[in-house]
Amino acid sequence: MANNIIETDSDLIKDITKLGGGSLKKCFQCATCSVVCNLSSDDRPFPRKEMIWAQWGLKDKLLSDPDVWRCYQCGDCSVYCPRGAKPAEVMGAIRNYSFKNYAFPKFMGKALSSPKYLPLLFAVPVILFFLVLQYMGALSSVPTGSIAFTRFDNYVDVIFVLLSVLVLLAMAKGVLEFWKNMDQNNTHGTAYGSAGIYNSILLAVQEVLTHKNFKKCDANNIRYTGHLGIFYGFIALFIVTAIVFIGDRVFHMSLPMGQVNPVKILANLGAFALIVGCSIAFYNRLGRKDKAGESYYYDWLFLSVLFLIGATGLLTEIIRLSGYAAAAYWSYFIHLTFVFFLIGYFPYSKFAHLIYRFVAIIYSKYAGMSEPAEDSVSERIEEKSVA
Amino acid sequence: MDKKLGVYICSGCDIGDSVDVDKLLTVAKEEQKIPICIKHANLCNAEGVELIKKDIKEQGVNSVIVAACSPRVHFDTFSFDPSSIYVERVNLREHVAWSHVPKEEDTQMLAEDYIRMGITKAKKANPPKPYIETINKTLLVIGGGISGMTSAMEATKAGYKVILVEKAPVLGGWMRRWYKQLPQRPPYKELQDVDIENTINEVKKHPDIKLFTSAEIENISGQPGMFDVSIKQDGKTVVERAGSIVVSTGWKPYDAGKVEGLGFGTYPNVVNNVIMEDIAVQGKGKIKRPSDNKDVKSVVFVQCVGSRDKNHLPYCSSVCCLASLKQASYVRSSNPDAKVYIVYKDMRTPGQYENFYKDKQTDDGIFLTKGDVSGITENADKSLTVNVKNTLIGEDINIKADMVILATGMVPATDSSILNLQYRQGKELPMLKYGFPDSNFICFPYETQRTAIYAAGCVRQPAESKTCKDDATGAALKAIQAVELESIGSAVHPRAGDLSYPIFFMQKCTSCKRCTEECPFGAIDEDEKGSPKPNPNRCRRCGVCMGACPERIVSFENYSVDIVSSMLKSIEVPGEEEEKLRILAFACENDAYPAFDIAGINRTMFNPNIRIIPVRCLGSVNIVWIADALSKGIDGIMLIGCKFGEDYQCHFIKGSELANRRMENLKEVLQRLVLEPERVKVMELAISDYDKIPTIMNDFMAKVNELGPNPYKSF
Repeated sequence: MANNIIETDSDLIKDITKLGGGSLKKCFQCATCSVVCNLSSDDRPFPRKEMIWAQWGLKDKLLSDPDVWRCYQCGDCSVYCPRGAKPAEVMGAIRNYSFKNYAFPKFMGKALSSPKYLPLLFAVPVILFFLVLQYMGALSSVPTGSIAFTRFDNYVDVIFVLLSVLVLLAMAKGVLEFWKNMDQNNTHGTAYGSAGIYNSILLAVQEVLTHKNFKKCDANNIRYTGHLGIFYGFIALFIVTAIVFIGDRVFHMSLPMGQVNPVKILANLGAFALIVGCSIAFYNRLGRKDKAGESYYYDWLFLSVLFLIGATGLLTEIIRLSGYAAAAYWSYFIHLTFVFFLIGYFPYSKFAHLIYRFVAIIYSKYAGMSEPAEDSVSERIEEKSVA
Repeated sequence: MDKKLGVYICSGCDIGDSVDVDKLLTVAKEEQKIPICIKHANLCNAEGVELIKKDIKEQGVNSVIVAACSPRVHFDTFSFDPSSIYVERVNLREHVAWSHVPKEEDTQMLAEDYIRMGITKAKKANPPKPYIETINKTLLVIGGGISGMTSAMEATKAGYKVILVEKAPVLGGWMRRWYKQLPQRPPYKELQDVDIENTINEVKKHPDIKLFTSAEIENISGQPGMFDVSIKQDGKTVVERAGSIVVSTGWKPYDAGKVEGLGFGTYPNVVNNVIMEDIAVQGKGKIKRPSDNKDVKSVVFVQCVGSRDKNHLPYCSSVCCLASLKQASYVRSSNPDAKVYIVYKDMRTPGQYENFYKDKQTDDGIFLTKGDVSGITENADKSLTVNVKNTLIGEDINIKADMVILATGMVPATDSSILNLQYRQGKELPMLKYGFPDSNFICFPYETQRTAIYAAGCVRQPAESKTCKDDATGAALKAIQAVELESIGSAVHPRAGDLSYPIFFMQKCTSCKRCTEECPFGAIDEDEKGSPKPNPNRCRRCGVCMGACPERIVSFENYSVDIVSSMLKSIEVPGEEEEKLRILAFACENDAYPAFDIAGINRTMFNPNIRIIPVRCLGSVNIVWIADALSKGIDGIMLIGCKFGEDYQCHFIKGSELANRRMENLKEVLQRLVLEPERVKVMELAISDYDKIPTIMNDFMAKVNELGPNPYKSF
């Protein structure tokens, strides 16, 4: 690199500004952010370096930087920034820029980044589901007998399976490119590769499940609570869906399940956790703006869809139990529309952070990058002052 | 003048509870034979002051001894007609009652000694008669740039006449060459047009400004208020009289060619900040590179070229970062697609200009990084590649540029003959560092080492135009203050208001030249016979000449070798059998004496065996005082003054340093007399060091205790 001419990209600055990093040029590189960050490590401190890379429009560096994904945007850095450069929000914007950039096909990344495409994005599942209903002949009359969504599922499952395959392929392309970039543009230290790939994945899973590093955030630990609810709510619902899918398709289990069925209990708990988690997140973003920082379209869209999935799911269940067949079916229709939105647009929405962050964590373990200190910065300062 | 003394002792502010005031009265009345001795519970109230005034009027008292609080407070309360009534203040409050254990024998002895010393001084001192000559109040301003013109205009606004001398054929200095100027008002974001032509026209047509362009100072003789200035213009010399002088000769850019590897002078597209202004002016804002007049798309600014580098200019010029930010916006408005890179050591944008920096930072086309430019190479197309090491990006980088601007620092324009003063000590203003003239940078940076001559603008300290204007206004005010004070025969800063001046008893002078050499302000010239020729208006009344004179011929009406000798001789030194040591402290009036006052105000107790005599400057301490004190039986002597040497804080530049040197020389003499040199010690004490006083006193006391009593005590 030393012999190459540096390429700065002013457009990148504009893109990041649009994605919520408008304050990035205010940074004057004092590195207070890296010092106060509980997650920053000694040999690869962040977000100071990401700030100047963004200021200079050094796209390659940003797109191949695992540290961007080791930040949980707790906002400690923004609180202490003497210049109001809000590094936390810039890091968020860089992440948004990053998955948008890795999106395949590219137009999907663009479609998810502006509200003007929103009607179109919703139109896709709605039209698809209408076609299904038309085909079933369910548009003209509400099916009689006990309310059973499986009638609909027989067809919808086909759509979702196909969709999942497409999404997984698109995701895989982005992730592989991301891994390649990280591997090419980061210097390999002595510990590189020593953990082995499987062990690295295991360590990453452990980190994600425990939210070990997310917990270290000081200024904004309410985010951690909210995220925990959403995360485990989502996992529970994912497991339930998988059980139901396999149970229905393979074992022809009788649906719907009774309310005391462990799977049903898990489903209800999951929905509850998801809704509570989302509510905390809403409260944080709306009521604690000074600490939480600005929220942007990506944030609201993703959070709203998650919340609506939980809400419509729960609503559908309640209506079903009350016995209003037409209302229950339409509610389920809406619920599935949101589910389609979440899964179908997974690689292009903020949801993609799940996979990129996971991959970045795996890479950081694999490349032997140092971990953040166990104790927090404030603890270290306290120790020093006592000593 | 017939002396009639009156002693007035105040018992207020704890004095009465600390010492036996009646016993003090007895000392004054019976021992010192003062006819009028009165005590009062609140001397500073109307009744107390009236009491003194009545005695002045009815009893003819002309020397008033006020034994009460520090002379640093209630100055006006106890000031009577200064031309006829001498007032001596005995500090019984801060230096006795507030800093020593009440009702102790030692405290009482201390107070009694201070009464004796005060009376002794009042017996010998007289109200000073000021030196008054016909003063010309015209200001001479040298240099017609932004600073000089501002000084001139401000002085005329205050009603003073100005002579303005400019070397160039036109006024305006560097500012006339700038394309735009930095924002002069809040919010300090937008560049402004250079408005210097207005000022030039104002100066040109002003009836009170006598303008000499294409002119130089041939020489300046005389003294403040009476300077005779020879101005050379068009081969002719005119002599003008001026009262005070503002030197605003400005600066020159440091020669970037002296910094290796940057190609200045070799590559056509490597220029400095000044040439960049010319380019902007020529292109009317369109920035085209010198080699082929092509529009620039990529520009690199290299900061600190030679600056903050011990091999070149060791200091920060404080304006180059601003100049580069300003010129970065020239490039950006010339071509909105152009990229500007600024490589800095540290961005330094003093004061409100931080707002300008912040604003420029947000420009998407301006890229900043800390870094060291290790070299610049020219490509075939005359573009340049700038190699930057130690960047914040995390690696060494190369930047391709159409043009490189080197931000060089400011060199003060003091290298050539400017004033040509006909002073024995030298023709120009003495320098402190790096060619900047200075007197006491820490305490009063405005002053120079030449009375009534003030440096303003970049010749005093690198600055942008707004700061220069403030600086020049301040210098004009100082210059006005100087002529006004000189006109009433008063000293200027730091003894403004002091009407005394040194009087030389020439019959006894041996022409040893010590005074002429040691005067920090070049006040003393030599006459044809080689004898000292004092210029009282150049004098700052520090008394360094008085301390220097081996013949003791220099004295002030109210401060002399004899007065202080008599004071210290009036101290009652207990005999050897009493085992009470006596220490004498000469304390500098500027910092050390007030530090003792502050110690008192904070009720800091310190050793009662010390007697403090205030001195104008440690440089005024004459060696004979040491001899007198030692032969009187004083056991140890402290000289407490300001820090000397590098970053000195001496108010008279080298007084404390001179005292230190003189005491070093004295050591030999003491050894010959079989006296331990450790009995005499020079100490530095800043005004803020008042809390250290007890320790300093006790340490010295312990040392003297170790040495034992002065062997000359019994003689």
